[in-house]
Amino acid sequence: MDIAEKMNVFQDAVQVDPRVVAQEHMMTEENLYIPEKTVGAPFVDDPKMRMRDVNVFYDTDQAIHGVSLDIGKNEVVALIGPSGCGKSTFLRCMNRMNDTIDICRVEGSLHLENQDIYDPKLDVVELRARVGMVFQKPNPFPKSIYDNVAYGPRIHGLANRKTDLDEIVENSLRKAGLWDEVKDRLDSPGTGLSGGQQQRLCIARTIAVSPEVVLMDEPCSALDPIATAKIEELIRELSESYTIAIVTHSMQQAARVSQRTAYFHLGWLVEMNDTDTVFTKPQHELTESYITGRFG
Amino acid sequence: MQTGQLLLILAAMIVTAFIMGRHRALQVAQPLGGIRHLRSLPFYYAMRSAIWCALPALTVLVAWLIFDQTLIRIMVLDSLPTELQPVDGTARNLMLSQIGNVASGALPTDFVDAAVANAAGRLNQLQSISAMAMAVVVIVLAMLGGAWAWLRVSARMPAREQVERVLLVVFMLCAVLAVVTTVGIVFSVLFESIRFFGQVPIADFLFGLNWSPQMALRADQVASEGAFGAVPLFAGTLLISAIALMVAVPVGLMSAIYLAEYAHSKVRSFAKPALEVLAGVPTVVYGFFAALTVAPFIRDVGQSLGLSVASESALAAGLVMGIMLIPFVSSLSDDVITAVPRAMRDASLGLGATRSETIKKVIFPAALPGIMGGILLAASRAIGETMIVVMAAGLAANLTANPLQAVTTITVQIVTLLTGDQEFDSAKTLAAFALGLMLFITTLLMNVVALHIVKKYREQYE
Repeated sequence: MDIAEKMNVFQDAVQVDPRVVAQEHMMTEENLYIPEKTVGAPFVDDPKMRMRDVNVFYDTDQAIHGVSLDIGKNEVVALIGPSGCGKSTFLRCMNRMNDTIDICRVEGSLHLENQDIYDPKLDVVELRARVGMVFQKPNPFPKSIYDNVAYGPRIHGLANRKTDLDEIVENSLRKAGLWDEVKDRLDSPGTGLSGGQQQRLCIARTIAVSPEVVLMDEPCSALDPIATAKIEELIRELSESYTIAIVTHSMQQAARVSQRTAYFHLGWLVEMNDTDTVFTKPQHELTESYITGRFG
Repeated sequence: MQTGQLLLILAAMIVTAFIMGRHRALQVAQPLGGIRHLRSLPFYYAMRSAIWCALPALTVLVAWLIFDQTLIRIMVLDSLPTELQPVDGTARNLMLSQIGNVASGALPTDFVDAAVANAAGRLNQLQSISAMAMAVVVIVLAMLGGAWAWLRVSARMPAREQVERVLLVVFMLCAVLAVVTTVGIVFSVLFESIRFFGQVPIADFLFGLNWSPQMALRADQVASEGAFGAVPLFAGTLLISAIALMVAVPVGLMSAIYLAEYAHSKVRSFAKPALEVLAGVPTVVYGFFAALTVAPFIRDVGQSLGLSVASESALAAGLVMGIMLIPFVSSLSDDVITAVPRAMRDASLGLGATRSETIKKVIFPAALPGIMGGILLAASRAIGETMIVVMAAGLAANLTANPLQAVTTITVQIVTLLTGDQEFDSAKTLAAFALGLMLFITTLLMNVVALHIVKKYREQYE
């Protein structure tokens, strides 16, 4: 990894003393401190994923400070917050994508059902098959549409015969709402699709390995409004069969697609609650300031 | 006046024109309220003045230098009395060099005809007149050009456009120069080859299995007639190149993958330059390493295994050449592998692929064009490499696929054909040009094929 990449990683992790910065943000406001304990209801019964006291460090800089939250079965959880608040970093902890960054260190306990995600004995390949990820910028492989979707099933040996693989590809593309648009040109390159189609292809590729959880890191930030609307529709449909955690910069998007919303601020989880409650009756002043657009 | 002095004066004048042009532009700008009222920046007015000062003067200077000797020679020869007038080209050259030697004082005047001595005097006289005239013309032209440009400086003059047009022409000439040189080389080789094929049938050259380019110099000499079958040379070249690539491609690629994907950044920052040092070792050093260290080692190992190994073997040359080529493959491959976007790796890893699966299925196909480029460069180097093979592979033109025997290559034969005293009309010497042409065509075809392959199989990422 070169310096430029490291700097990109650092961007999410720049830290001074956060409480001081928080005060500077709102010089006119009183009592806008980050709470000792997350406000609202971060925990649910029988969660799909359970995170407790998660700290993340880039070298010596701490990017995430003691975050604890649950993600329930088949629910869509939105992670919102201003730039650099650590929401993407937190998301990437959940399928250990941060392992690819040499200087990143994760503390705390993260569980997928009863499986400790950071158990040294755990096979990270298997974990990532169970917890899939969709990235900010559509990143289809420079291969055909078919090969893009078939990539995961092939490396995990999910299909014994060609017909099985065909079926997986078709089902995944159907679920991603892309089948009708590409069924006649499965051999043409995935990079030739439009931005929105590419992102749906990436979603199809992710769900082709039948994950239990899908992590989405700002999946619509590189797309136009129409493509965004399609992806949002897709997220709602997918939530019937998958558990989804989505990082987004758009509060409207969080309100439209998620059942619960977590508000991050400078690496702390300030508030987490039902989406309606967060947006209509935020309990913490930082949350209120953010959703009313006082900073962001 | 010497041309060198003249050039110095001209350079000084150009600098002066530049400074004066700039000064003039500033002067023009001042009453208007600053340089923003000029159409171009003062620098461009200065450049324009310099160009006007330099371009006509230099053009005349170059033309003068090219043509004055020819003119002077004609005039000197004309001054000779009719009985001394040379009859053919050779006599003319002889006479001219005699006159020249007398003129420069290398040949005392008592040794030659009085008329020749007169001609030498005339030569000296003409040359000094020519040099004087050239200096005057060039300096006057430079002054006129500079003055013209200086007078024409005005706020509305499009100096920038004009300067850029001149620069465009300069860039174009540089590009043309490279192309013209290449074409020139190809044609000179081509014409000599055609002369060779006039003496030796082209089929004998291309399909002959015997190479022994010894020609009888005298009619009664007991020497071979000369056999010019190039097949053993091609076979030797291919054998050694194949051995070299078999070493360089796997080692280079794997080291590139290790450096780009697995190595810690500290290891990488040390190992990559270290590998590139290999590329800086002169090939002659590799040559004696091959001849004095590797070849005897291979022979000893072969003997202990009961194999007969020549003391100069294709294997030794190929292995050392392979080592030489490792940095070409590894450095270029490493660059293209590192250039594959991080998003591709993330996508693959995020789907649960292991690192090696990611490399095999995503990174390698995406980096393929660059990797092929590196391999191709290495192959061209292998085919064209001379020094190592001269020292380590021997001169015997054996047609064999056994890497333990001595073989010879096209380049080695070109070297041996063209070193030492040569006559440029014998088939022996001309054979070198035909070999050069074949080598050129081979590399060209290889490049075309490889480009085609790359275009067909590349997986292009955004």
